Amino acid sequence: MKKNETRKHLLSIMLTVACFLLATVSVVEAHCMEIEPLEHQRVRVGYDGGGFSPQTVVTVVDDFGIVLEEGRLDDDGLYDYSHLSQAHRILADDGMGHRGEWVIDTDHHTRPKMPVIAGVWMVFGGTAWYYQRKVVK
Amino acid sequence: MHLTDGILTAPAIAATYAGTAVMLRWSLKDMAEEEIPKISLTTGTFFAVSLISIPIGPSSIHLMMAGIMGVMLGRRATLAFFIGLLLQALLFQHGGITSLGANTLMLAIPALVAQQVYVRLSLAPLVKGMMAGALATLLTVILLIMVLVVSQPLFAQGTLSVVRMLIAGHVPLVVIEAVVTGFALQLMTRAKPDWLQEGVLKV
Repeated sequence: MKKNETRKHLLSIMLTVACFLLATVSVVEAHCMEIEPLEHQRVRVGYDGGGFSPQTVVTVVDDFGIVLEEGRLDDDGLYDYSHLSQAHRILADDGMGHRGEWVIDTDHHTRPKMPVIAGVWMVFGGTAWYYQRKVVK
Repeated sequence: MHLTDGILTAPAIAATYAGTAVMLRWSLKDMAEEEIPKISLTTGTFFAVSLISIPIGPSSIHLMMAGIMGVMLGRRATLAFFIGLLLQALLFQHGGITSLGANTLMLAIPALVAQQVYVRLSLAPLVKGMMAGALATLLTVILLIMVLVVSQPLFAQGTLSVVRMLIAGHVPLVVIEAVVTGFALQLMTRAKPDWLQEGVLKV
């Protein structure tokens, strides 16, 4: 009986946390692989922690999803699509499970990671503290 | 390290979710209230630490903590990985929802193996902790390679194939995970031995 109650408590807390976090989710483009727009119709493609993979393949598609061009990054992790007037969306894939996507001319904003990470950790910490107190009692 | 959406085929997604469901059920079985503080703290720590990228060469890596999670939580590690990875996918698009099953298995299986190695070896906590950390990371990379090659055999072709890149790119991570796991478990053995997984959570 106690074990069932424990499971119910745990699940309810986790669900509450998930619902709270889901409610705060907005559209972000902070993928593990990030496409950052630069001036002169160029993009920087890299990982959100820094660096890039020279194996990354960039695909430029138009409004209808037709591939206009596929290519690799230059030595600085940049890609130039200025010669493609119909370009609508840019996709990047490093072939190792990381992908990124950016729709041209949309806002590029990155969610600040640390406050969210700290908030989630505090929720887990609070759960631990609550149960630790309960167990000690 | 986490696979994103769009990598796996539909059968692979179904199979990995089924495997994760079985492991989650086993993970939740007979859970006692006393275990929740430890599970909760380690889940939060896994969520936070594995989001922090370390630049290595032209790319970047992040800690996976499979070894230390396995030793601390045993079979409960599956639950911790699942929740941590789900939140990472929802909040940061780190990983993906369709690949959540595969990502969970790629960490949970090595964690269990690492825990068994740690429990069975009669060595100093630092040494066997380092072995558990290195082994878990290696197994995770091997599982990742297997998943990628099964999904698209193209990944294994060529001198600069993805498989070779993954192996080369994760050598530093194996060393870092070994050192972090070894010292963390040594510290825990001294400071909080009851949190190590040699009691109620044995597989």
